[in-house]
Amino acid sequence: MSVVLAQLGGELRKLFARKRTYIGFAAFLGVEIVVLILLQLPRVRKGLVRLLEGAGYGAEEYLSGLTLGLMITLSTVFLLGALYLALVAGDVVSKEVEDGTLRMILSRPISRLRVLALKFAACLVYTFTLTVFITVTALAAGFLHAGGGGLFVFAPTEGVFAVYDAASGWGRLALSVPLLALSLCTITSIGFCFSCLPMKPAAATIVTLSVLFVDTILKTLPFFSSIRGWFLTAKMNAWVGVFEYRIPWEAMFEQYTWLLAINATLLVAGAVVFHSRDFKS
Amino acid sequence: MVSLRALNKTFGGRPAIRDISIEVDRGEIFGLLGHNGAGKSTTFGIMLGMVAPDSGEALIGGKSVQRERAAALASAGAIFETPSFYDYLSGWENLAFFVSLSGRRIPRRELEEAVGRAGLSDRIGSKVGTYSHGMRQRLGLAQALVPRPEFLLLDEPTDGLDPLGIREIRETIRSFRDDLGITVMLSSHLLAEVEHLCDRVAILHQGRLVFCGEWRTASRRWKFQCEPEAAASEVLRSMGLTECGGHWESGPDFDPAATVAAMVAAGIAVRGVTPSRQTLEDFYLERLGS
Repeated sequence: MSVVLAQLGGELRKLFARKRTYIGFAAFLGVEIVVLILLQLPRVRKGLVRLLEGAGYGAEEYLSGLTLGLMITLSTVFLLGALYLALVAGDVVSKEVEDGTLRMILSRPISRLRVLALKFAACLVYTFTLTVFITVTALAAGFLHAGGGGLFVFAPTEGVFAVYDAASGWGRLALSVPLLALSLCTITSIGFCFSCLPMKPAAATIVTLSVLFVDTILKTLPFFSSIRGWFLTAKMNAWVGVFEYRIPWEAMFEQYTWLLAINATLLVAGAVVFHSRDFKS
Repeated sequence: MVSLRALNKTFGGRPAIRDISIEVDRGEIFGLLGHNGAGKSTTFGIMLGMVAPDSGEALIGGKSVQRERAAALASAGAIFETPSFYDYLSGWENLAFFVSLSGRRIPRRELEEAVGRAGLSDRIGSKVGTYSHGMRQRLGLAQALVPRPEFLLLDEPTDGLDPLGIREIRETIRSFRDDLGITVMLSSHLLAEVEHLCDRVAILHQGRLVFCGEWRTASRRWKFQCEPEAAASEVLRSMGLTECGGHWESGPDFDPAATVAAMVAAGIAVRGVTPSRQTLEDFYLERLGS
């Protein structure tokens, strides 16, 4: 066990010692500030106030740090999250093949399966770290700007409109973070799968992003509305369910089971191809 | 120590190696020679389990790389012509990472010993991105030495080094065998280096094994000191030898004793028969028909 932990520690050290790993963190900070500024534009703010007051809630109480934090997260996480997770996961195997370090690794008495498992575990750690970072910094930005108060959730595509007092809002938000991270693991799995195939790191990243963008575009087309729930990005939005008054646990469990099955299939496919590849100078 | 048994590998329909069988004895430094594309890298790849052979198998320490890779490679280390490391990590961090993949805890002392043996103690804390080619090669040596291997596979270990670096690496390789008892198999384009280090070599040409054995004793050139010379030449030609620049070249089935007996029977005084010394380069080119 200690050997496996040491090996995982080595993978994480490699991952977090690269400057590129932190581009995602820095970019999120920048975008969060931009979104925060946009949310303060009089026209945008007026729309939010009208929405809340129309439903009988006070804007002063619910346009809080919690609300702004969640809004920032909702509006940035999938676009930028996809980009940076695809960048890291798409790179993780293919870059080592390109640089020749994989040959050094494979000259050691370690199975290819173990190599992949360690790399995927490191990617998962990155995914969860990035998710926590996004949420915490979004909340920090929201609180710095608007201070405390209740939570107002408005996610029209998921059909969620809800308000919570501060204590319940914190609870729901805390519950959403691991679920959001689980959703984002699907992007990591897609990137990781392509990274195992014989292609350049940039190609693995671009193909991963293409899959997500195509899925998102198809999902929004009106003639596919009847099957909207079957699209990958629709399933990935299941985490928003924790903000409904009555959390749809059963439906969420089903969606996450699908996502886990998709992730497992991608990993197996990647591992099978990786296992059958010849690595020669 | 190492046994390659009837290895075959094809890439995209083109045979890379055909029916390669080589035995490397414990404690020897064995050379694998061949032009670019001759099949050396494929052979090394198969020995490290990075390339799957179409048929045949490679055994290290009696364990099949194809069937029990981890056990076979547990006693092996490898260095590549351009060892690749993580430039953004220090030499020590690189070393610790690669060593952690060996599957067991390695005492820090063993790592420090390997670093010292590779002559990197002063710079091991620096980022590898700041290393020269020679230092990378030394870091490659250090990582291959931990945990202590019984067999080392060196793919072009002197590639890109200056003459001093080449000599240092040569001495280091020799010390692996002499001081640590490590069996070494190496490939190099620098035949003079291989000549210094190896008694036995294998020569690959277009994926086929054209020679495997002790290259010095396999020399097929002879110098005869006989009188009268004209009569001796006649006998030698009749026995299938050909004259070549003052030497006589024989076929693989040549029997010196029988030749001398034939000359004596023909009334020729034979004063000496000596195999003429050949450089490995001459021997190599001769085997390749160049």
